[in-house]
Amino acid sequence: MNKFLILFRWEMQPFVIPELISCCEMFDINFQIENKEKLINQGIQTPLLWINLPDEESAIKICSRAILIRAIYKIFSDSETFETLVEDLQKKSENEISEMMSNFNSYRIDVINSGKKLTQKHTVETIRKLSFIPFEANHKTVSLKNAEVNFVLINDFFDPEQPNNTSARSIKHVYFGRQISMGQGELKASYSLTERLYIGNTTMAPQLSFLVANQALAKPGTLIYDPFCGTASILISCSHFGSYVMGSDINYKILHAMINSRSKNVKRQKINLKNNKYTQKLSADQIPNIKNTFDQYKMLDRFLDISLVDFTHNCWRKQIEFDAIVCDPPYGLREGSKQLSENKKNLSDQEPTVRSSNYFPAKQQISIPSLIRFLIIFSAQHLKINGRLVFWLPTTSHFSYKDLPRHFCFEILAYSHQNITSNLVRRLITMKKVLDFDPNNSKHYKLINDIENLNQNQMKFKIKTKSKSKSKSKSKSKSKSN
Amino acid sequence: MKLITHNMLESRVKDCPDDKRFPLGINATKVIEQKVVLNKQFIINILTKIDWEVLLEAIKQIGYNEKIELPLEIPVEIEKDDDLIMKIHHALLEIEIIEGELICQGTGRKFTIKEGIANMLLNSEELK
Repeated sequence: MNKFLILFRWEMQPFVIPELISCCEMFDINFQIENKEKLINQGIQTPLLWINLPDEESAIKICSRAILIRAIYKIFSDSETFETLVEDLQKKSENEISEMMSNFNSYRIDVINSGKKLTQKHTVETIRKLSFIPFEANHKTVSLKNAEVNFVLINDFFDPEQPNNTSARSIKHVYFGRQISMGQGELKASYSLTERLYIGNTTMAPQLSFLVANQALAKPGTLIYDPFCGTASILISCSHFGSYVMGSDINYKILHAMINSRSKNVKRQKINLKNNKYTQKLSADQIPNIKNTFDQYKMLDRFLDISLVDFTHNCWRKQIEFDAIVCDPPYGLREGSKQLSENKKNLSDQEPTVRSSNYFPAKQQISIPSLIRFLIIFSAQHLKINGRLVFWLPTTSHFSYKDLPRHFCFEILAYSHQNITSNLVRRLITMKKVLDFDPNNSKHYKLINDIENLNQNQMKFKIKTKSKSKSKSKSKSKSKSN
Repeated sequence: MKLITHNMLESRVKDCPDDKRFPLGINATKVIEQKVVLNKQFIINILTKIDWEVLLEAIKQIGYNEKIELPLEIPVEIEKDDDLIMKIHHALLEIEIIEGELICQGTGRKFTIKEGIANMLLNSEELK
């Protein structure tokens, strides 16, 4: 095992460790981190983390997937202050120096200040102080633009006890090393919604949908299904990593690109698209819709189909199995959750066979616990063994591990949270199918725990209805625990 | 809608007998072909889930049986036959029904395909 240093992006901390573990599992990489259990439960407290990996190749593989990793480094020396680091580097043996100088001709040195902003002048001075390192003696040339190897000096100012006052922070540790690879943070920009051909009011931000794709272990040749695909943002992220994707939704207007949106994002996107290289080349029949968005990202070969399906009356035959099921179900926080109505009052007088193709069947609201139960039982039936179900769930801050929905066929791997408001917490639940669904076992048709009781206290939701305006009371009930 | 999807869908109409839910009949009025990159492993994997007879019948129903000649059964050593894999790839992923209908064989209920999207939504009286 070799020791490497990971520098994480300082955002979405609860998602960092689950993503790292998923990336390692994807490539079957053995890894060791200190205090693993604690990190899983509490999240990371600083953006730097030592990790033991079999080789550099493993670090490169992890970086080819992780959104929340900024980079992984091979560290030559680390110390409490810059001065002691310099002393340590000067003491390096010839062997150690030649190892540091192997396999490259051009290089550059970057200074990274984690947890504090320092001036450019300071950076230049620091680099000058490192000039004793015998790069020139080993015939290495500096190249700022096309360096083969990036050396880094990392100043760690990060101080969890000074969360807001960055100027009060003093240096904690200094590292000098070589960058092995960079993470996938730039995907956020290359899949930016403001440049995307087709988006809706609730299209998921690329960063979040890439986190779902990583938790789902999306990789080349796998088959992934999103039963609430909307404008297909999660599927786009899965497809980027090589998965074949299938989507369905109950909303005719979204799938047929008939939405008339007033969201700010959509307005900005409309303006950007006028100047976009892809849209300027579009022919008249390439209207903004889901399929053409896959074409925009050159992923049409992995876009299977989208269909209009009511998930609670879904129509996949029994034998069909997916490698992963991913979704952000419409919980009513943004879009109302609906199923087809069985209410006789909605009966239309027309015969089903002569209904026009754009007939909109009556829909009714479905409760969140029922929706989750449907989702988990469907996944138990239609996932491969070891396949993953990854979905977003809105909860309150009182929601805890014991409240997670459980099923005999599943193991819960992660439930990372993101705070939306003071009492609204969005969780990304990752479940792995560990047992085959048994159609003759009645226990497999229900959840182990009764999540119906969670409605008020742990699971936050406020169903939007057309007739009633904002109802505040429902979600504000306080939990008695604590 | 591609033939791979047709091979996965069944009718959920209330009055349909269970043995008639799959497969759905096809009435295609507009079909297009679009070349996409082959992933051999994906095709081999998905074949374990594909109902071969239903695929052959679907090809016939859209009038492609002369263009795509497939054997009556999947050969045992399919992974060695790149020509056949290419043909299966073409049949499953490169042919798309843009306009048409899927027909429930138990009830005659028609599901419209429009802009390549199959509308499997049921009316209130058809729900179980």
